[in-house]
Amino acid sequence: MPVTQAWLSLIALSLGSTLLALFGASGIWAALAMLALAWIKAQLILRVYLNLQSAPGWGRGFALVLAIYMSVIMGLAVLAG
Amino acid sequence: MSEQTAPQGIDALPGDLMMWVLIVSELLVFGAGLAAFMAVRVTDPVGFAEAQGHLNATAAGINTVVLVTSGWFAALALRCSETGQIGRARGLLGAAMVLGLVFLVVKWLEYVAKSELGITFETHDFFLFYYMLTGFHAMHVIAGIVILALVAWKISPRNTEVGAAFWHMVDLVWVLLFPIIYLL
Repeated sequence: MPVTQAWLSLIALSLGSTLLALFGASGIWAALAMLALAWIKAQLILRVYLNLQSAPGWGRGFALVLAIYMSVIMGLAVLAG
Repeated sequence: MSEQTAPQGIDALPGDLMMWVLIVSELLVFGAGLAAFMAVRVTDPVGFAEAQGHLNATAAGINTVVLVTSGWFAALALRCSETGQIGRARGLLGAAMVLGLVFLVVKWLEYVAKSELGITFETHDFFLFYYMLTGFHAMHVIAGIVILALVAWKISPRNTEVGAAFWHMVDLVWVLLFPIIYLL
C-alpha cells in the first residue's frame, strides 16, 4: 500500500473514532469499536509507515504481538463494563 | 552468474536494527503503562468515566490528525531522500517538525485548561495515568522534533530512514493512547 493511501485511511479511521465518541457512543460495543479502529491504525503504521510490508515475516510477527496485546486491552475494556 | 537472494532473519528488517530495538523498547514501556491504566480502570469504571469527562476529545482528535499527517510527511521525506530530491526531503521534514510543534501547542493548551480547573496528579488515579502517559509521550514528540532537525541537517537516506522510524513510533504510540485515555 502506498504511503498516501495509508495516510488517507489513518485520517478516515481517526475521524471515525472521534465522531463515535462525540456523538455519544458509549458502552462495551462502542469501546470495542474504538479499540478495533486503533488496532487497524496501529497495523497500518507498522506495515506502511514503518515499511514492515517489505519484510512479511517480521510483519506477521509484529501483527501477532499487536493482536495479543489488543485482545488483552479489549478484554479489560469488557471487564470494566 | 550469482543469484541474488532476499535478506533473511534480522537482515530482512527495514532500516537500522538499533532503531528497531529502541522502537520495541518504547512500545513495551507505553504498552505496559496503557495496560496498567486499563487494569486500574476495571476497579473504578465510574470514577474513570467521570474524570475522563474533563478531557477534550476533540482537541485530542485534532492532534491525532496532526500527528498522522506529520508521519505521512516523514514517510514522503524518506522517498525523496532515497531518490536524491534533497531539497524536497528537507522541506517535508520541516513540515513534519512544524506539525510536531502544533501537536505540542495543543497539548500545552490542554494542560493549561486542566490546571485552571485545579486538576493535578493527585485529583484521581485517572489523572495520574493521564499526566504520566501523555507527558512521557510529549517528551518523545520533543525528542522526535530534535532528531528530525538533525536528520534534515545531516541528510542521507539512512539518516532519514532512522529519524522517520522514530517519528512513526511516536505516531504509533499516540494512535493507541488516544482512544484508551480520551475516548473509552
